[in-house]
Amino acid sequence: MTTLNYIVGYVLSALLTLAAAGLLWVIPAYPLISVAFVVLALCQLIVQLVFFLHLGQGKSPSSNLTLFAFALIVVGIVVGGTLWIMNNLQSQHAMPQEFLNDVPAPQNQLE
Amino acid sequence: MTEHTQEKVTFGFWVYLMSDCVLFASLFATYAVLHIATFDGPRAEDLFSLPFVLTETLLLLTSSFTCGLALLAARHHKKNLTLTALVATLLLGLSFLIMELSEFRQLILEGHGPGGSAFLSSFFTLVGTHGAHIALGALWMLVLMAHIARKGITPGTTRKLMCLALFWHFLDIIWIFIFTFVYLFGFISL
Amino acid sequence: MFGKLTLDALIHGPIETFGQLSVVMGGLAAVGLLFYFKRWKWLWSEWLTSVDHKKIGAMYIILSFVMLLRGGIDALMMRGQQALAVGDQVGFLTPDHFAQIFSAHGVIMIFFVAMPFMFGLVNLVVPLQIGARDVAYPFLNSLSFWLTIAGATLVNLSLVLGEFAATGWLAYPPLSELAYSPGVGVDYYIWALQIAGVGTLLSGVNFIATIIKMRAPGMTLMRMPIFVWTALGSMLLVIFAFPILTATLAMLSLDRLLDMHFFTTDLGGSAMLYVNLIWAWGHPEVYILILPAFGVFSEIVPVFAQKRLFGYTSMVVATMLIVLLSFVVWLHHFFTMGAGADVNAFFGIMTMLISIPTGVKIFNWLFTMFRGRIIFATPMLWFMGFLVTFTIGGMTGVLMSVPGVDFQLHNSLFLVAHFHNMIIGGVLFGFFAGLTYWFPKFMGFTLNEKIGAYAFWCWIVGFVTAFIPLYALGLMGMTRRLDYVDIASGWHSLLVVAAVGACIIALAVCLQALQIIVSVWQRKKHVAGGDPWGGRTLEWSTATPVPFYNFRTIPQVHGRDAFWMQKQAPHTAAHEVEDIVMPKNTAMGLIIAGASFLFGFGMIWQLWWLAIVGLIGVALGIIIRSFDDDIEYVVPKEQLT
Repeated sequence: MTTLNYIVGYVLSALLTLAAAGLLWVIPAYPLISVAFVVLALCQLIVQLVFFLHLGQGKSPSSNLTLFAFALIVVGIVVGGTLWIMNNLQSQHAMPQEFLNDVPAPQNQLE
Repeated sequence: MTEHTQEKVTFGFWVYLMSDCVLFASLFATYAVLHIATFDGPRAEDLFSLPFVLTETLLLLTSSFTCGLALLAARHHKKNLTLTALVATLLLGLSFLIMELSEFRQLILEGHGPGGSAFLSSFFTLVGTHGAHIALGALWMLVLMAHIARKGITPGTTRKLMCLALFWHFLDIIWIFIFTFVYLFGFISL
Repeated sequence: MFGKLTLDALIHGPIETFGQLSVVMGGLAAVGLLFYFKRWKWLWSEWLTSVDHKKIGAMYIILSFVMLLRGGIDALMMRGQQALAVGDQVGFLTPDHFAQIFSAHGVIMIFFVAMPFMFGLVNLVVPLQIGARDVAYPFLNSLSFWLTIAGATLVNLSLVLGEFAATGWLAYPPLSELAYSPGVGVDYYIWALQIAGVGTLLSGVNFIATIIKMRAPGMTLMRMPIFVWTALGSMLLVIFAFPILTATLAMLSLDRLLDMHFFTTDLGGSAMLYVNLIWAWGHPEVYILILPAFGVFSEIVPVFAQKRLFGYTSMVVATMLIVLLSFVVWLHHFFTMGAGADVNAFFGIMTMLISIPTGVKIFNWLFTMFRGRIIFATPMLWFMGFLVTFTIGGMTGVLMSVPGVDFQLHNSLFLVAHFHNMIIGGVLFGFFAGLTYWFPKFMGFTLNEKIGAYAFWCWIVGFVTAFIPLYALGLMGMTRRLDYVDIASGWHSLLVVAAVGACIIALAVCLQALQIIVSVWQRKKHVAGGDPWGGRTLEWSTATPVPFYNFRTIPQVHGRDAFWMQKQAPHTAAHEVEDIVMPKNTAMGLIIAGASFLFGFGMIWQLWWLAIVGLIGVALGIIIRSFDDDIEYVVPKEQLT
């Protein structure tokens, strides 16, 4: 827990943020850019956990770490499970396009 | 005795923060499901401005940094330095909040308030809940500065500051995910 | 100025007026008795401002018994309506009133009977079992209790002023949205649960910190009593599940108050998202209730079989597996909502899997009993009742975990019978067992065994009579929540049987009340020492009733069943007695909860000025408390008897 520790954390986080924003100019290709965003976000998560929250350091880190791991699992299940279920429901009960976004309804096939 | 108390209190606060993770997870899950339901209204990329949100992000990140400096100063029993760093943190945090409120105000004035569509509801609520946490943290910071001004750096005030620092850092971490999944993904129309 | 509140809010139909008057009379009677016996000061300083976990635990249990009366009366009314409203009879309840009753019944029984009972037992026992003087955050403990009271008060107030939700205990949209529930009922529901929910979450934090950080020296995790393990598991579920409820109810209230569209039928909302989120909370919730009940039995069976618990490690593993698995089964509550076969199959299989660790526990208890010397005291009777009823209920659960079967049985009385089987046969029997087991430790005298046995048998007969017919009715096709039944359905005779069963259960509750009254009457004859049952865990090592500081000296623990070890080898030298620091009583928990109540009331009736006042009160209370440096006092060692 030194000043250097916080400076490193700050600089790394700022760089990761700017890198993510910079991607918007550099790589417009869809699947790659979203993966890159997520990776950069996870990197910054780890940077901030280590340098700001000192996770894993200190006297008895195991309880904090275990709880954090459990929290991550629950977050993953809630978000992932919800997306899986709602997506599945969506495709089972597909709503007409025009109710979802401003894409116009499909044209009549005979035209 | 006091060291055990500090460990006990900061651990309990960590437990609370873990529960807050799940609160935000529920709101993120809701946003993930509902953000496509724009109902003929504006979509994410129509509403967000990159320079604006980048500024917000860097303001909050810097405030997280100064908060860490405040804790360091308290560890070295430097009361005035602690208070200065806390003032900086508070000002940066309030700047973030003012920017966010102005973003909300602008959207509402343009007729894109939270009642406009499920997307808008989930956006305002996810980002707004984070903002509400920041506001409460700012209030806490004010009260804590009063504590420190009055009593100086004691085991008690250090303990309170440790919890506040945990809270403030945690909120910046949540913001990383809002920045990424709401704004960045919004800019690429995901 | 008055928001939605008008004098109309006081006007109700005849039956509701009776309920309204009961609440008012009950409240006035309690206040009157306090004045008559001049016990205000005593109540205030000994109980209301107490931060002692034992007092708080006792108050939780008293709350749960009071609310059990209301929830039970709701049940009797429902059974009565279904028994009477057949053919050309319409019964005595209007459809809207019936809907409010079944909603209130569920909300009260889960949130204001089962949860407080659970927190009551955990509060009373866990600090003692780990050799601590109190919980990690005694003030927060008091606040949690009073927040629960604030929530319960709102639910009871809905009987007097306004109405309750008529949506079922989970308030599914679109019915719970403003368009279809424009009154205050759903708002009472939302704010009562939000406020009580904060209390619950804070308790979760409190007990995790207590169990992880405040165990006596030598008590490693694998030397903790199983009740403490199950309490830990339950509290982990609390902190990870309740935020989902908070978020979901908040979004529902945003829909209602600020015209948002999370779950509305228009502008992109998804009611199915609500169902998904609410059950992501709802399933862990039922494990929050049952795990401590399992823990109670893990304490009781070894003591009354006079044999060490079989399979300690597998019990711990089973508990933690249940905690983990309870987060991956929630879709089984809405198999019929229309997900595809792959999703349904996954959750169906997970649901079947979660029955395995429960089965491990049951076999461990059976193996504990095997070759033991069974004492058939009341706690053991409750265990045996649980064994049979819970296993049957569990099997019906596994039956419904098959999605194809569930398509037939979802929302039928079969489902209703199943979950009552689990909650009554599992949770309630477990808590009754715990109450009768630990009663002598805290009160200094045992409960009357004979009446206890009568109450137990009455409960078993009542439960079977009231709920086994419901299994049959569900298989015959009867849906839940019907306020009227056609003669042609052929369901009526079984509904009459179920109504008789409900009356038998009512009799059983009366017998339990009688048991307590008679036991208090006869308390001098049944004085209990510190260890009336031959206990194995540390709570039995204290004096009876337990002194406010719990232990004269913090015990040193050398193994599992710490007190049993102490009894076998009493040679350990007594530790030196030192001064103790104890937390001071405070009214701030009550005050902050009172302000929360005002906030909730203001939000419900749209008295915005009141809501703001309440919110400011909460903030001020917290801030003022933070400036209070005088929160502890020293108990000199000479005072420790």
